[in-house]
Amino acid sequence: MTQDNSNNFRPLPVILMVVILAAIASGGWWLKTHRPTTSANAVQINPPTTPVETSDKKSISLTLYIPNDNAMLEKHSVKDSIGSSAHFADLAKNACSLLQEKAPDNFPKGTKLIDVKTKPDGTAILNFNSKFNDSSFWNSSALALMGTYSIVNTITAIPADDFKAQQVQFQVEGKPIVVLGELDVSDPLKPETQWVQKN
Amino acid sequence: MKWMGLLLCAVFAFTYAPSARADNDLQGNPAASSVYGQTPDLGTVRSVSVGGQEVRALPMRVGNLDILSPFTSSLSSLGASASQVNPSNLPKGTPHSQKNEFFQLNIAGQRPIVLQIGKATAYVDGKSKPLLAAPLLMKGQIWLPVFSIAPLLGASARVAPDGTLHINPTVQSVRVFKVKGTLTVTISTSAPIPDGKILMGTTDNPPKIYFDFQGFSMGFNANGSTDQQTVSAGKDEIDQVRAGLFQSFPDTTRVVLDLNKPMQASVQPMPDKTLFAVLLVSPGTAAATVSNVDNAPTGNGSMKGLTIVVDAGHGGHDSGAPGKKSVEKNHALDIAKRLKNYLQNMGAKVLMTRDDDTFISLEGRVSYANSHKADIFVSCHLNSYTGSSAGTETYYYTSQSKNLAYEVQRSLDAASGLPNRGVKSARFYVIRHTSMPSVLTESCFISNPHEEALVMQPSYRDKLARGIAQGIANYVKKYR
Repeated sequence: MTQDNSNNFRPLPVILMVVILAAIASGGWWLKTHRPTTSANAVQINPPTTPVETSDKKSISLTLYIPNDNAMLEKHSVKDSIGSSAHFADLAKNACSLLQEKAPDNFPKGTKLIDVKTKPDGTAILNFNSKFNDSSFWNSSALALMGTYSIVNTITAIPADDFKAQQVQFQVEGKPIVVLGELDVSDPLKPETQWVQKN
Repeated sequence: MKWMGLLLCAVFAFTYAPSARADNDLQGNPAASSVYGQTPDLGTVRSVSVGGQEVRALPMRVGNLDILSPFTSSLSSLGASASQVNPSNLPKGTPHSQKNEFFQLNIAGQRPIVLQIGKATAYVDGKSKPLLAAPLLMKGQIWLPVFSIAPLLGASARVAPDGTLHINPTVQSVRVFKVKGTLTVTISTSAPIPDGKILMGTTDNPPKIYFDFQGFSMGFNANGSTDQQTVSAGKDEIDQVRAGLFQSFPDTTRVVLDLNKPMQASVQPMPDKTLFAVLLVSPGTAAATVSNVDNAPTGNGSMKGLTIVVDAGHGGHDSGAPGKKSVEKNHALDIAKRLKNYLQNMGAKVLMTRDDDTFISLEGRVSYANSHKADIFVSCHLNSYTGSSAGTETYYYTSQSKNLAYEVQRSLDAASGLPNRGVKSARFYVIRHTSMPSVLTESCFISNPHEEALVMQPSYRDKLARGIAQGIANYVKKYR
């Protein structure tokens, strides 16, 4: 009797082939999803980190006393972007610049705040350039009062971390000045509410 | 006899009650009256005349309530002017966006009349008054409702038979009083009296003196009535004072002094052209020389023994604040000189830091006052800021000066008729370093065109000086 083996089914090689193919396919998928890539469609997975600030600046609100047409001061709040801490000198310079920008007719042209110093008694010493003391500019009471007290009221309202101004002393080129127009500014000026517009 | 009586009545009516003839005409025509709230007959109006000058623009009929005419440029003949509104005079709660819709009519010595384009309401000293029609803005001109505005200006609005609407200043009031034993009569008008527009006449039997104000209509709070009326009670030799419209279109108002005996009238020069003053003396007696009869501040002689330093601000190369047409230093000096005269008349010894166009330093002014041991120091200034800033204010620094500041500001405010910016404390050099009660006055804003126009008038500067003097007199009386 003769035995024909041509039609015999051998499953083992087939199973092995399937297993190998499956292993190759899953390996490709793993590499695709786990390998770092620069492709535009790639999903970036960042390693976990502790939170940090993306910028070293913060915002603070300044109160500006801006003269109106009727020679009265109006309060305006503006946001000022500052460093990580609110230093008085920086804020004072910013506030003076904003006053000059928003009420340019109230200060002699070319006026510049050179530096700001402080004293333990709450005095802020503002040192301006020589343009500030142009006697021909300060020719009326209203102008002298508006120019002076817009600065004094604004500076004493600055919410700084390192200093709270109670009064303002004016200097020009590092030297004290006696008068602005006919207004005696020989010693520090405290803020005044009598020129602030009532709502 | 009956005819004689009628003739006498007719003569009397012509001489002393001529308005009775005109009354009949006027009473038949409501438009002839400026009675507030009445509806005039607009149909008869053909043209408008302001202070005797015809306004070329045709009047406009609006809603049968009032006549509008662009006569703002002619307001000066009514003693008024138009300007942009001062923000402090705006009605409360006015949105900023509506500010440009407002304007104001200014009358020397009075609160401005605030008006709004398109709204039939006037605002005077914070109070609203209804108008017959709203002011309009057409082709860049402001058209005013004539019958509504005239009474607010103290003016009269009446329609002539030829259809001309006449807007005239009026004779406002008569006062009879005595100054240093001399009988005095003052007659006030709503607008300055041009030179040569008053005629004086007298009769001995019965004794009367009359004054014809040419171009002036009847005022006397008569609400447009032209009836003759008694306008002042008598005093001593004056039995009574009557007034009536002697002539209509053009108008002449006659003021008659009925006398108990013949008197002689002496006309007094007055810095304020809205005031006419006469002194009455017996015939043959030289009239006393009394200047500024009605204007002299009260308190004569009350300042004897006091030394007052009057400081005219600025001077020399320091012109002070500039206006469009003038500078502060000149007005300050003029006001200071007038103030000096008033104070001297009240008995004070007055010293001036400058009496000409000289520069005096601030230290020099202080040193002058302190070294002369002055009792009072007054610095005269004019303010300047924007074209719309307006009003008077008085500054003090030391506590001993506060009462003086309040008295001066009160009188200055009343005299100026400008917005009252009040009393404030400020470190002005001259009031900080003087050792006596010291104030610094800001009489007006020279940067404000309306206020500059006022202060350029000598009569107005005199008013300001008088106001300051009166304030000092009140202070001395109350506190020294």
